Amino acid sequence: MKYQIEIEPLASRFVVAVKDPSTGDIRKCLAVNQTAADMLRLKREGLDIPSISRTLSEQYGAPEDRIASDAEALFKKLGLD
Amino acid sequence: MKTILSMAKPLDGLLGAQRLKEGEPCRLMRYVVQQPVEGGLLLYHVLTKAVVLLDEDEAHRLSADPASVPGLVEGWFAVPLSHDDRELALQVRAVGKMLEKPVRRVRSFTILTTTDCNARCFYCYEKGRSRIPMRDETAVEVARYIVRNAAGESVRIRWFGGEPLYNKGVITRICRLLQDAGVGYKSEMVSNGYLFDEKTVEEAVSLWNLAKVQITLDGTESVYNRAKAFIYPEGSAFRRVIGNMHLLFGAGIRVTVRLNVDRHNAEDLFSLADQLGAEFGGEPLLNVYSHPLFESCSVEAAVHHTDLERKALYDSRMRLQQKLQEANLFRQGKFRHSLKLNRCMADNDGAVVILPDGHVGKCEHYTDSGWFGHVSEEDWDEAVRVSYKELREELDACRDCAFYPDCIRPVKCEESVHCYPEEREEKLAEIRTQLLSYYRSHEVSD
Repeated sequence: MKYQIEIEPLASRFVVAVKDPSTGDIRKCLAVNQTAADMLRLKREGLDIPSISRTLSEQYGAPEDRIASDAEALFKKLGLD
Repeated sequence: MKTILSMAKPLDGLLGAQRLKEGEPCRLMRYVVQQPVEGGLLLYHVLTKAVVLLDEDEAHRLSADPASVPGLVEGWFAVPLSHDDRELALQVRAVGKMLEKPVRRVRSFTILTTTDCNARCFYCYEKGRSRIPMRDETAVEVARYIVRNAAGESVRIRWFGGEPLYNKGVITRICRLLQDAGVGYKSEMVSNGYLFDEKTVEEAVSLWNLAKVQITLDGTESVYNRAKAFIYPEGSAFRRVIGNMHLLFGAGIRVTVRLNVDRHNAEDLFSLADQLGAEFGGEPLLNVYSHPLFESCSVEAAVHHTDLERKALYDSRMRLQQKLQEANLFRQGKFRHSLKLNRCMADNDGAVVILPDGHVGKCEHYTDSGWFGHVSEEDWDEAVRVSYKELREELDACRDCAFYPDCIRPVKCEESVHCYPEEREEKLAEIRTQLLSYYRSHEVSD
């Protein structure tokens, strides 16, 4: 595993930490909304972007392609791509 | 509203501004401490560590409708009536723990050179435990253990006992070995102060790198000599210790005097404060503070105090503390602007306690058991180490306590079994004093 994703709720948001699995050092940290936190949880489970967008599209009733592009941008921002 | 201090890291960039529907009824969060100042009111948020100043008009509106003061909702000072303050506090702690810098090395070592002592204090929490001095070969192993852990970085050592100077040879031995290995170190000591002399103080500076000594004084000469009951039949231990404090100051070593307060000596300590003022007044290396004798040292003894006795003792301590401040003997601790994630060395991965037989533990109160390793071994018992982080169930008092975000009560800690109203009052007084001190210095620097 190249990275470790940790997520904790904070008020109405979620704090995401991307850590180096061998040292525990934090590479990136971000406060995100519920949808982004769900994307990251699915990513942590090993799902690829098409599977993540399919799952969340069913959950939220949002278009798959929009979720896919949001997820792509989020993962890039967190260095997960 | 003027922001004096923003939220502490990492909350500043993560919690964000609170957004509410307009007109939603609000109250102050339970963790907000109010402190009137000239021309306004300071609000200190114990959870976020933010401090704001309200003018008189805003302060006046605060009790009726905190949401009417601009900025208080956004800064989480004012929250909806149904807001779960405790849940947010737990979330903040979890986020803080998640983002805490990982500890790779032990850098802080509390070393018990011996569990034996030259005093026989009636209140000693180590009474009945085995009295073991550290042997020379163990001291060598201790030094090797420190060198291995330091990995080239400097370390902090706290000499403890028993009475650490009762076996000072191992201090010298360990320090020489650290010097030989090129490990940098600074040290401090908890001592009764009796065994210092000119030669020892000289060595404390040149070899031990001793920066600070904590010495307990239980009263004026006769009260002190009776309470400490040193094993030496001749001379006044009190006078000797006071003389040694002069030696330490002369060598540039800071001394923190702890006044253990109980019913037997509460009034006498006022006389001692006068004496210390006359003897050391203006000494910048001296700090004197008071501590309730039984509340934390022995739970068994604490519960034997009635509520009235406890109240009287705390009132007495507060008056004593006031006197110490007025006499310029007490130095106020710094105003905290960071999340509190650990209680002490016991739940801090960067600190260990080394016992005289080489066992490695987490707390000086566990000398006969509760260790998780040994200086001569690489392996340790992780379950024991982690057990020092296990928390107690919350008390009823936790629900409404303003200090809940900063309160960590481990199962293994005797000091956290009870929480008396007087302790919370004391904490409030301490926070207010620190807040005022910070605010005034901030005004000056403005």
